[in-house]
Amino acid sequence: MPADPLDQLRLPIAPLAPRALFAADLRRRLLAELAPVLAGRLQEDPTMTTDTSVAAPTITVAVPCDDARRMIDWMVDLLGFQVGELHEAPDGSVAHARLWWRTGNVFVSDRRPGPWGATGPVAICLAGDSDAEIDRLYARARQGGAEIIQELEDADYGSHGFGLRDPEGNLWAIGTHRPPAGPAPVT
Amino acid sequence: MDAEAKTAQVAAEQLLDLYPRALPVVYGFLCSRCGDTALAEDLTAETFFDAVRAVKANTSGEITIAWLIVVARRRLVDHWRHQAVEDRHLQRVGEATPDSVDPWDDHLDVVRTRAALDRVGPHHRAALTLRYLDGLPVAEVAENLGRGLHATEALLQRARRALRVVYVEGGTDAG
Repeated sequence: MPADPLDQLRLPIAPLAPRALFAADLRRRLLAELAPVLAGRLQEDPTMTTDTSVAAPTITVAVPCDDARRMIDWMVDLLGFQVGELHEAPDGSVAHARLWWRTGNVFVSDRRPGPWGATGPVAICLAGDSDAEIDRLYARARQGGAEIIQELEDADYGSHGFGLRDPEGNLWAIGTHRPPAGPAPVT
Repeated sequence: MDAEAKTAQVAAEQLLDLYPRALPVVYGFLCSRCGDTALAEDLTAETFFDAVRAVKANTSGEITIAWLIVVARRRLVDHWRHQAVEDRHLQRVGEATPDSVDPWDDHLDVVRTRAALDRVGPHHRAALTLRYLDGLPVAEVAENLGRGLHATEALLQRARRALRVVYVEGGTDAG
């Protein structure tokens, strides 16, 4: 059989990057759709917070709360924090709890009258170790009904991340951005 | 955690991990076949949502780029099928006689021929794209179009004649 000249039309697939906005938006929608399927896995994934073999942090955020147990549940269920210690006061309120996540700690307690109770909402930044980990946290947050104040995006300073507000009114910036400690690196 | 849920989780993670590499391939494929970036974006999104549905229903098997292209091709064919339904009210342009010589028997102007593809009717475009741009054997073209083998061969013959008409006369065909 003679060759078919129309075979010359053969067009191999060449990858083509679509609009960045379209790509990011589609990724968010896929994460939202897949969240119910992924959520089960997230509960039992130990690799999210294992690199704690570093020196104890020398700065810790302490968050007095109107309802410490509600805050602890939110941090544990949605962000994968783990409870290191929890001490109750005689009246059953939380006197002190240390929650840890990767290399850092957050102290949570029920607010007491006096100078140590006079705090307001803060912003807490978490540095995940990969885009994939951030995606999983985002899916988990969506699935858990967390208040999202910043949709998943790639910020111009290079962080892949999103923002939440917790039940106490604090803001959480969760992304891949992890600035070093110490003076600015020499360039 | 039951086995089914576990399988779905693994497939979901595969899809998410593959997304950055797979997206430009699916989008590039659709752009080159339909020539319209807005349409390519829509079909790309539909392709990935089809993948999500398959993951949730545990019908996807292993998620690969090749599998996503199969899904994308199905979306493309569906689009042309719907377009053909909408175009049905248009009058047919005159067809070439069966024994006319193909203008590309001597020399094929690839650019001009691919541009002519943009102007043939959706059913013909679908058949010619799968057979010649994608290089699928006729049996696979038939499977993709949901038609029998003989019906597809006949469609390809009509599609080639329609392509010849628009190529030579620079008009459009309503097939």
